[in-house]
Amino acid sequence: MNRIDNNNLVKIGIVVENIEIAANSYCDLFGLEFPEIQLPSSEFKPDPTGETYTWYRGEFVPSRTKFANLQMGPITIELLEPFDEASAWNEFKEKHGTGVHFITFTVNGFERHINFVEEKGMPLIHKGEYESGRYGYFDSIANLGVMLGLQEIGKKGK
Amino acid sequence: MDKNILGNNVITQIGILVNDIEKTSQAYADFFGVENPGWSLTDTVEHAQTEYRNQSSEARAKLAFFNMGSLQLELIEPDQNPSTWREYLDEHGEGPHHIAFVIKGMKEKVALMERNQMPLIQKGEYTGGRYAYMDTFKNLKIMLELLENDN
Repeated sequence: MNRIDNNNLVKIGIVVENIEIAANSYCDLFGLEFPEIQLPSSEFKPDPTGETYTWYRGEFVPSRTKFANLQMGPITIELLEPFDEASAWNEFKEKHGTGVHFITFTVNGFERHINFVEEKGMPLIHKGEYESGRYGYFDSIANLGVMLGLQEIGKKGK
Repeated sequence: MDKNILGNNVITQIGILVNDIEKTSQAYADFFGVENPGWSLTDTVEHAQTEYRNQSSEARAKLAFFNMGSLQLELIEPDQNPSTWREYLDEHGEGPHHIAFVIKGMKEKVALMERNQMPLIQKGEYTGGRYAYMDTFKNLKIMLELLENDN
């Protein structure tokens, strides 16, 4: 493997203080329908099967965030209001306040992409596996001026 | 807020500030397996009529454009003169600065946004069009750039 699967930027992730207020502003300014806001449960229970998880800087952690996806033409704007606990999103919030946190590309072959990006000198700092896909963020600011996100859609092993 | 002011929600560009455009362009070219597009310099103030916070500015920037599917990724290395690029880079370091939308009727759109508490920060002309950066940080947590092309 000597290059990423594709160069179609599909998502821009933006960390906000208050997701309802931010979502309202986007919807008003751009004439969008108000999105469903995803709220993680306040009591964290790890998946007993281990199938779904979040991993951040070497540890399996709750890493919860409120989030909402806004469809702006072909690009998704993902608004994120992280919980006050260890995650890439909260790390960004503590360093920068609010703003663009990552740009995401959808790839096929998640694990080999992680190896490829890490070989290029951009270590994985956060990843998550959910029911129907997986995502990861890389420390790519020194190389690309922005955090790189990769996602793969579909159940594991399919 | 007035609704759907811009009449468009398709993002045409994401602009990223960098300290060394040659180094970062090469990193993009290598990583994404595309040709290094090289950079171009924005026009001098005589042509660009650059205004930053209501004052004429000599500021120029090196720009490099990568096609990333539905949008362009723009790398921006500003000079030391006063500009939103220089101000933001000095304050925040390298990183995303704006998302851009193509609009029609620049004066009217800028006035509408200003009326809705999103003030103009910087504007200028380029061959075939003009741009305006609007301070939308409070509402959107990112700056918006409006682009109007003559054709």
